[in-house]
Amino acid sequence: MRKSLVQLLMVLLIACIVSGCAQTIGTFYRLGPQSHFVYPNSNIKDLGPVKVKMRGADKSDRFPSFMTSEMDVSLYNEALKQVDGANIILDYVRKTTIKMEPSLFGQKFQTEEELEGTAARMELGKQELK
Amino acid sequence: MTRAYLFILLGCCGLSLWLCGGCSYTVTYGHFVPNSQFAYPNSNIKPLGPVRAEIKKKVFEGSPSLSIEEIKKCYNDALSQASGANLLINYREDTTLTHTTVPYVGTFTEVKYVLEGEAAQQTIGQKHLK
Repeated sequence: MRKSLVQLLMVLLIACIVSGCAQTIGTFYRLGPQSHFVYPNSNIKDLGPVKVKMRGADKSDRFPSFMTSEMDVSLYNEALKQVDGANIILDYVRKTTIKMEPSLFGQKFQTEEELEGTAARMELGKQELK
Repeated sequence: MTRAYLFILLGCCGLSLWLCGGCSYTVTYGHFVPNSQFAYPNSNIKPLGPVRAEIKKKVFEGSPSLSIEEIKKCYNDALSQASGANLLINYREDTTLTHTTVPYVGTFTEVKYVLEGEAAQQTIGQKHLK
């Protein structure tokens, strides 16, 4: 009976160490006017709000992963998918959260990204200039 | 006795190779950037197609760094791939550091800077303003 109780406690302790004690070690924000280049010779039409949340693909055990262009592109593409015809995100707020999860072999860092903004469609033309 | 010594030697070699394979790690820092140069509102901008350029440097026992001139050269290399291009739009800019430790030898560090995006041509004119 006592042995079973000890085993159960051990299992609970390991489960807690492996997954239950994730903690946020930093949250960062960025405001941006546009996700992609805005041609001066274009018309832009708002299509509606978008909101997306995704986890970074990699889990590093040495240090939190830095920002990469791949993360930027994945996040923008995920937001653009939400509205048909959208090819740019305007006036966005981006939130990056870095979490640390202790594990039996050290720790793991995980990045979470959130983006809120307005999806829009940009159509390229040519403006009359002197 | 000789055979035991040989086994120990082979074991050490195997351990060294295992350590060698296990002591390499990579860190990337980068962004997705809308435009490399200021886009004048009184201009027409024409996309010219995808371009890519990179620069690498490897050092032994130290941290390699790229000079501003080398970064500018890389940027100009990317632009030169499209005739008439004078800016990059919607491009990725990533710097990757790879550390490789060779047991009993030392650490090699490589820095790689990559630019990948679309070349474009900006023609500046004058808008009529009231």
